[in-house]
Formats: sequence, C-alpha cells, structure tokens
Amino acid sequence: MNSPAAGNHAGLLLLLPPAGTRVVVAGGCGGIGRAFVAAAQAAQLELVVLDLERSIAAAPPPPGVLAIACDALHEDQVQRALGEVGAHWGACDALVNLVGYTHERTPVERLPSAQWDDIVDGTLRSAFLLSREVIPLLKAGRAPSMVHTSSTFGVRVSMPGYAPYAAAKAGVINLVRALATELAPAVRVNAVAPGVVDTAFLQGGTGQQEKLERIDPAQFAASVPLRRVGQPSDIVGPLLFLIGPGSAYMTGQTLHINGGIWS
Amino acid sequence: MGVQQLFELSGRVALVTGGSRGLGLQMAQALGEMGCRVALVARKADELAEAEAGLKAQGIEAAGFACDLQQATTVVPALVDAVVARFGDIDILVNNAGASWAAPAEDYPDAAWRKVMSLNVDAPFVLSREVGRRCMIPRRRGKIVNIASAAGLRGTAPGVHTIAYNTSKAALINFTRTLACEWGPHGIHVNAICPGFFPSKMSAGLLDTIGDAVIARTPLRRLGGDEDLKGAIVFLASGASRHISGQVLPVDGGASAL
Repeated sequence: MNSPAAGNHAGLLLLLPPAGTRVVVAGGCGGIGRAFVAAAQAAQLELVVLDLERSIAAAPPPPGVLAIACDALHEDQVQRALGEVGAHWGACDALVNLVGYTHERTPVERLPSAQWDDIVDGTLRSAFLLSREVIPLLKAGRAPSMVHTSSTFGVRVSMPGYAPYAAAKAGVINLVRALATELAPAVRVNAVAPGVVDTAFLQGGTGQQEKLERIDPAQFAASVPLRRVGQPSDIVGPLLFLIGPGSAYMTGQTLHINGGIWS
Repeated sequence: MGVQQLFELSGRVALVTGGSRGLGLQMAQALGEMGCRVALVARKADELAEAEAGLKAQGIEAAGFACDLQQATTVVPALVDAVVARFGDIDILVNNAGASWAAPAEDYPDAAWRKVMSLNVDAPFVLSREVGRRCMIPRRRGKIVNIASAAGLRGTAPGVHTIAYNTSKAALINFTRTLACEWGPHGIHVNAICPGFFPSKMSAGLLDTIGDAVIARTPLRRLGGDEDLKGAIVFLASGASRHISGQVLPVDGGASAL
C-alpha cells in the first residue's frame, strides 16, 4: 500500500469487523453468499456457511470455511446446525442470513396455500428460526449483530405475482425491528434489502430447481436511477458495514441496495 | 474488488459544510482518515482555523473556507471556485450545516422559520446544484450525502418545540430521494443520514432537559458519540455503497425502529 497515512488503516479499523470475527452465513452458497464469503475471507473473518446439501455440493465454500447442510424450513435442522456452530466456536459474533426464495409468478386467486406456506416459511419463518437459535451464541460473542435480508419487494410491489414473497420480505423488515428492540443493547439487528440482483435468484434461487419467468436485466435497468441491475458484489460492502463497528450506533434498520428504485 | 478498495477514498476531494465542529468535524475527520482531501465550510473563521489545524496535525490535507451559507445564492459560486482552485473537482459533498430554533408553533417567529429553512433546505439545494453541474455531472460521478435528522422522520416529543427544524429535515429527506432519481443517470449517488441525538452545541440545551428520556427510549441506551457517524459517512462516500442511492440511513441507536 503506498497510500499516505496512518489514515487509511485507522479508518478501516473503525469500519470493518476485526480479523477473527466469527460469522455464520446462512444461504452462503448462493450468488450473494459466495461474493460475501470471498470478501469476508479476504478480510480474515472466520466463517461457517449453512445451506442446502445440494447447494453446498453445487457451489462448495472455499477451503477454511466450514459448511453445514441445513434446510431452514425445518426447525430440527436449524437447531442441529446452530448446535454444530456452538460446538465449533462456542460463540458467534455475527449472523448474515441470506436465505429466501420465491416460485413462479402466481396471482393470489390461483395461489395454492402450500405454495404460500413454502415461500413465507422459507423467507420469514426461516429468519425467525435462525435468529432464535443463534441468539444464545451471539450473546456470548463480541460486538454481536445480525443482518437479515429483505428486498425492495418488502416496501414496493412493482410486479404482480409475488404476493407471498412480498409479504414475507415486508415481514423481515418488522421482524428486524422487533428483534432489535428485544436484543438491544447487547445485539444489533439490521437488514439489507436488495432490488433486482443479477444472480441465479432471477430464476428462483441457487438452491431451487424451478425456473422463473426471466426478468430482462437490460429492460429493467432503464427504470433504475443508477441505470443498472445489482450485482452480488454490490451487497458485500453493506453487509460488512452492518456487521462492523462502523454501524455500532445503528439497529433496527433496513438498508436498501437497489440503485435508487425505491425513491 | 478487494475489501480495502471497497472503502478506498485516497485522493478524493470532500466538501463538508458545518465542518468546523460537532458532527461535521467528526465526518471530515473520518473522510480524512480514509485519505480524502477535505474542504471545511463554516461561518466563523477562528473555529475553522482550529478545525483545520487539528486535522492537519493528524496528517490530513484540509483547508477551511469561511462563508455564510444563509446567503447561499450569493456565496456558493465563489465558494465552489475557491475549493476547486485549491483541491480540484469535488467528489464528495456533505451537506451538514444546519440550524435550529425552539418556540411553540403558535408563537414561532417568521424570521426564525426563514433562517432554519434557508440553512437546512435552501443551502443544500444551491450547493448541490452548483457542485453537481460543475464537478459531478461532467465527470459522471459524485457522492452527495445530506445530513438530515431523526427529527425529519416524525414529530416531536412532549415539550419539544422545533417545528421548523422537523419540517426542514423532512424536506431534506425528500430532496435526497428526488435528486437521486434525477441524477442517478449521471452516475451521482445521493443519500441521507438521519442522526439521532448527538451531544453538540446545537443540541446542548435540549439534551439538558430531555437527555435522560431520549436515552430511555433509545434501544442502544446511549446518545450518539464521537465515532458513531464515521462509519456511515465513509460507507456512503465510498464504493462500498455503489448501488445505494435515494436512501435514508438512520444512525440513532435504533430509536426510529420503535
């Protein structure tokens, strides 16, 4: 580094989670998860990834990252996975929860209740289960925090056919406020809310086999003030900021990362 | 992109209004620590000189520019001339200078209302317009961060009479969203920070009377401190927030989540 100062280094120390911070990344094998894991590992954070067995097989985390198979739809699997984290570290400093998915666009009048349940459980109940099971580990951790994942859909429903996903993502925003209130001042809880991000998620999510009707990124970009769709790497800085000391006086907030479409 | 590069600000030029003390100085220092060259704007030359000397003592390239942003239309063109002549094009504009006045709404003086609106709303508009068209639009990049307030998100607690301040900060929040929509296609990011209660010269009187109540209804159970805005300003000024615009970031210990 040839940059001047004392400056740079001191500034980064104030901003980023310190080396050795122990982070559980739920959904860590998806597009955003992989980008975050790579950056967090470069920042010398300690990582455990939870994801579906088939997602771990398809996109295994890099060496040095413990991967635990866990389907967050199932309470027993979440309990067992966080139990393994406890056995591995004894405590944990941050949860980054990227779990969530949707199905093919379906209007409410034709929506089977099983599909509603699957999407809401996979997106909102999973956040509750992961939170409940990680709280004791966080309370034993250093400067602990959680970051959940909402969506622009949680505040603005710009396309028909996503009712359960939109409702669940709105639920995440208020779950985060509720958790922040309950866990303060010990544990901070915030959310990121991506807009349209160019990942396999546009086809349903890395772990999902179903193919969604494709959103055309170029066409969508024309409606975004910054004139592009999001990339997984766009979410990395916000996640690091929200689990780091730079956001020490923030809790209960949702940070929208969507090129300005909800403004 | 490496993690260091995400937050990299070396050599960037930042202009911080109200930069000689309080939250403005805290943010100027944070930007300076990350390698920015910092232009401080404030009304009082002696306070500016002190702030400039303090930053320089930490190895930060800084310069003070005394001017009264109550007269924004008159003073802003020459201010931007002077800053550009000294440092080059402005990359980061932090509209932080603000004023408040306390009086019950039914007795609120016109002059106080005008003064608050002029510094809290007119000055950010005039300065953003000038910096945008001179430094940011031609280069297709720029970061504007408006320092609004948690007071811009809701009304007041019992016994607090700051109708102009709350109104002005709500205006600044929608100014932020609207400018983000207009200038997003130019590659310019416009966001706002909403600080909660931070001890400062402006909030001192109010905190003497309601400080304990504020802490009691703040989830993190404390007032804002000397480091608490540093992360947010560096985040919003750097590439780490490259897909974030038109957003309003409360840094208030969680009070607005209740």
